[in-house]
Amino acid sequence: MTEVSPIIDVRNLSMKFDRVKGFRRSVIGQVVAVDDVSFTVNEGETLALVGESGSGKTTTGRCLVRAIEPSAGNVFYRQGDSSVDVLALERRELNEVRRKMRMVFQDPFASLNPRMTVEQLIAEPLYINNVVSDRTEARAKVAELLEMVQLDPQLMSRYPHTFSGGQRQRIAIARTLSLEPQVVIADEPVSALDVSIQAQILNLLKELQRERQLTYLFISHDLAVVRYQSDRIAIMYLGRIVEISTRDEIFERPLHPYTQLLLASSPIPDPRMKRIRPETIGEVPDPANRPSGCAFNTRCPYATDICRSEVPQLKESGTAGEAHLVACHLWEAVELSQRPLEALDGS
Amino acid sequence: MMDDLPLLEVVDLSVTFSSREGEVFAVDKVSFSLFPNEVLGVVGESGSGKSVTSLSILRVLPASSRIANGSIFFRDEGRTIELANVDSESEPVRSVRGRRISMIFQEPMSAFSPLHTIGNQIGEAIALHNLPPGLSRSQRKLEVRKQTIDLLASVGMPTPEQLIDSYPHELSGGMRQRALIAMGLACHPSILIADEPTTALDVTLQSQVIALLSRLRSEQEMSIIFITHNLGVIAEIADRVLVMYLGREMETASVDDLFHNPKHPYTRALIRSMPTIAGTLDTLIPIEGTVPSPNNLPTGCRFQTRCPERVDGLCNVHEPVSIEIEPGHRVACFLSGSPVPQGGTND
Repeated sequence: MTEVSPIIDVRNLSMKFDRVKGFRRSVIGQVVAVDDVSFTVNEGETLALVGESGSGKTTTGRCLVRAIEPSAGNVFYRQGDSSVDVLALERRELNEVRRKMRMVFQDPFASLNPRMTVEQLIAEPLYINNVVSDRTEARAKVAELLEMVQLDPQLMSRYPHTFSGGQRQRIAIARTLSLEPQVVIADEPVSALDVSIQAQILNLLKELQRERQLTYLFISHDLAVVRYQSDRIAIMYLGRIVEISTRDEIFERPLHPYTQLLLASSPIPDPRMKRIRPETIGEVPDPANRPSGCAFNTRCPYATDICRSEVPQLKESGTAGEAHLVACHLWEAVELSQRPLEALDGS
Repeated sequence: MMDDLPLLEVVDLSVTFSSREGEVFAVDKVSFSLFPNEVLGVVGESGSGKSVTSLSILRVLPASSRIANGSIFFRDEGRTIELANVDSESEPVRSVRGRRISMIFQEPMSAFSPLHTIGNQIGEAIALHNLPPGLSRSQRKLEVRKQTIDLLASVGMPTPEQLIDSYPHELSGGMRQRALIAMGLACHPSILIADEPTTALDVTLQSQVIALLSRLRSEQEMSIIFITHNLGVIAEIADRVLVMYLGREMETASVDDLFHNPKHPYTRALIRSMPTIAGTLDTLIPIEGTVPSPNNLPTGCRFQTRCPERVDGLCNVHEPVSIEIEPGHRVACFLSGSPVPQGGTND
């Protein structure tokens, strides 16, 4: 990872939602879904955003294409030598950027309009963006896209309900890639699929990335999936990034106690690696009632006074060859005490 | 464990659903046993019949379906009760359902009524099944409340005296799941059927629920049928595992054999296709194709259309029956020794 200039550079992104009450929807407070988040995505790599519900991972992804308008921050998107701040763009320019940065959603049952045929679904963005001008051209392009996702082009006149979940996700991917984007934001793209289908879609995403030099922002709650898909990983907790580094660093040398907890909680499909599971480690607090200081302090076994009063900033841990940033006051002390997976591999 | 008589024996169970295309087998000649104080994992993808199997044990199948064949024997308090061939509202079924065999579901929000307090809903089962005779009205009320508080405490609720009077929406996801488990345990059942109890939960919560169920199983000497599609969770909690595919039993084995000596090509393929957080990072090998529709089952073995080890002229002609290849290890596959029928009949 030498001197790659980032294609996406997110700086101090925040998203606050109003909490409203009653019929008149009067504002009674705010939920900070994303709080001062900064990260970069390099061209051609996969960066995973990992977190549990309420971590703000989905909101972050959506803010990048302004599917929801963030409250503050910058999202620089580089095209060639120049870069633009997506959050400052006018409508027309924004649409240009949105052709280049596109989303794949979790649930292929909800993301495809049931009243449109596969042809219409995939051709829609092509017409809107004047990539094709007539139906013959559109059909040729749709056939090509269906072949790319390994579906039979003859099925293009069918409706989504005649397809299985995995096939629908392929259709959604074909639609996403129809405008030849550079960046794909994939929000839990396999969570709704059967186990035997997940690997198909994960491999397809990888293949497409190689063929088309795509850059992925891969949003997921599943560390096992992320381990296979990503080059770098950012761990989020209650709206903030708590740790970010390369995949190997995160798995072999997790520094943040929350990352360690996530790793220790993820089930391993091998009964010989069974671990003792604590029965009470609490759960993610309500994002509307975020603990002061480090948001993880209510569940952290190491928390001290400073953790309850001061928000830790994301800092370079400075010990690895790779960049490894962690937001914890105590990581140096914590690091030595726990290496959840290393202990297991010895068994 | 094998020396004991099984608590539950399901023999050749078939369940059909009536649909426009006629009768469809959701479960087809499935047999298994559950031993005292054992966790049996039932794994399968959608359409495998894993949930329908458990609904038939409690005789709470939807109206469009019926038990077409088979028996379910339940040994309890020195007698054996047959549950499959009696009316679903008959006395033997009612004496067992909810009292000796109870069930918890995936979505705690929909399993509880929003209109009643947690305490009232859990207390209902206690009042119905679990009170000593001869109490006055007010004594009954006190006794129910006392038992409910004890239950909530046993599932790790921090302040049961207060939580007993809260409504489901006031609880966090984790507390709701614990309350649901408490409801399932209200009458100290000898069998708890847990249908995807951790699927909707965040991973740190899933880990706690696994720990909780493992503890309750040993404390209360109860057996658990744990239904899930997640092999990681199975490896953590199950003693033995039944693998189902399209309504048929594919393989039954101890959890160690299933992961370290899997015999059925489907089991092997599932394990190869699953991402994991530990061990080597091999490429995932997906299972090709999609799960066929139950309306249009493949000829021969149900899995042959996707099986990498298929033998043409055998697997696509005859359906293998399950045989015991080692004590406690059953497989339905010609390659593992299922008898090949002579004469070429297609059944």
